[in-house]
Amino acid sequence: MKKLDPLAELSDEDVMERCAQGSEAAFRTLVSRYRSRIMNLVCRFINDRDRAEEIAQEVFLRVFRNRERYRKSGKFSTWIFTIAVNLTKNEIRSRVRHRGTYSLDAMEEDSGGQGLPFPDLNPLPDQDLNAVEIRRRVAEALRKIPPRYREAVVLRDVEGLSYEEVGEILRIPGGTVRSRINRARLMLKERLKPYLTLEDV
Amino acid sequence: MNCRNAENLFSAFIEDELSEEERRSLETHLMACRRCALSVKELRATLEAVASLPSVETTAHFEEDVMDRIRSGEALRPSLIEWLGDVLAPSRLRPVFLAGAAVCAAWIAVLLVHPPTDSIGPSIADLMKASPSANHKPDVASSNAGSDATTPPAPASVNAAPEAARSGGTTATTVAERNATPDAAARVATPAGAGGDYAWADHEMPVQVTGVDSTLPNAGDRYQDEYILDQFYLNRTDQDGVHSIVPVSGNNADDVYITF
Repeated sequence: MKKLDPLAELSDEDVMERCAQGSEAAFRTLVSRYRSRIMNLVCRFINDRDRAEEIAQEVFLRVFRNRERYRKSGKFSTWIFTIAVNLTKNEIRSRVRHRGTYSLDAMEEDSGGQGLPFPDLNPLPDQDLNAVEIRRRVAEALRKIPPRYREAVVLRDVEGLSYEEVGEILRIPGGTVRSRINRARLMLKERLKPYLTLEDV
Repeated sequence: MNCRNAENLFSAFIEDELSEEERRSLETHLMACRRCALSVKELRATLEAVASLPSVETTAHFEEDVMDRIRSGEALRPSLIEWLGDVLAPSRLRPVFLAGAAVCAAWIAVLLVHPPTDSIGPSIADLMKASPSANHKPDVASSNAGSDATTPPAPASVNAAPEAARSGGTTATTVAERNATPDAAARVATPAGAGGDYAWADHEMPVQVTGVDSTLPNAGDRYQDEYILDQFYLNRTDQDGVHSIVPVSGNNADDVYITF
């Protein structure tokens, strides 16, 4: 009979508390719960998969390093996403400094000039090629809207966070969060309009 | 409700977060405005498309890589770069920059209200006020007379004493004439040797000298030599009235010495 993981039932905050008390198992649980979400978030900002993975690892190193500074009163997801967003912003800033400009096309070249920097890991059958094309266009549209709009809409629509959490992570008031996300969606809509099929809606 | 107001409510409408009143108002607008109605449809489809994005997965060894980095001690203390990054974060530095800017602004304001009167070296205003016959000025010409000709002299007084002018051959004539002209204040010349050698050094301000050369074979040539943007030009008019301007090149302007 398989032994149940005692941590599996605990909330993120409780697991983090165990982590702060020195439990490696608790830390590993947090890594496995959040690795995909953090990687996904970083990848939506940095068009370089290897670098994105390094940054995602760095996020967990910071969680470990600051484990005793975590306060259970706050949501763990807000805390870790704040770390991830800040590290990602630092990366973008240092790229801007080194390149002189934040060029998405240049970043695309970093990935070997592939049009699709992140190969689809779940290829669809031929009849769904249109869906693949749409995903590619969505990823591209996300990378092309201004960073302040992108970060808000990625946290909300890709990561599924609440407006309150997005506001807390980006340190902007609720009204600004909502208007920024609405604006970001309208920008995405303008870019994706030619590829959308509205019959199904 | 106009289209612009309506557009601001689209997200909240799709997520069903509008108040009853707002929702009714928007729905009325959407029934009348085909453009906005289409926009809402497109926005719904956009949100579905974004939601359909597959998650980007980490490599299989992600967790072990993180644990390896922790075991290696990397996570025990912040790296220097990380520490500097935190310390020098724009949000932390902003108050410092603001304080610096405030101090600079205050200083400039003070300078505007009370311009300094006791500055190091003559200000342009002082130079402009200097009279051609300012005998009370230090006798720079004679004090520099014995100095090494290769050493750039200190910024010279515009008003070299007439005594020096009378005793220095070409130099004397030059300085005297210079002082006699209205724009003498803009000129700086320092005699560097008894033979009438000139050393031109003060590049901070225009250097110009005019006069009649009485020591060269072509005695009587008029000259008006000057620095223009770090380049020294020999500007001559000979006795026949032929005018020539010759740039004197040199990598180090301090090395430019003209001997008449």
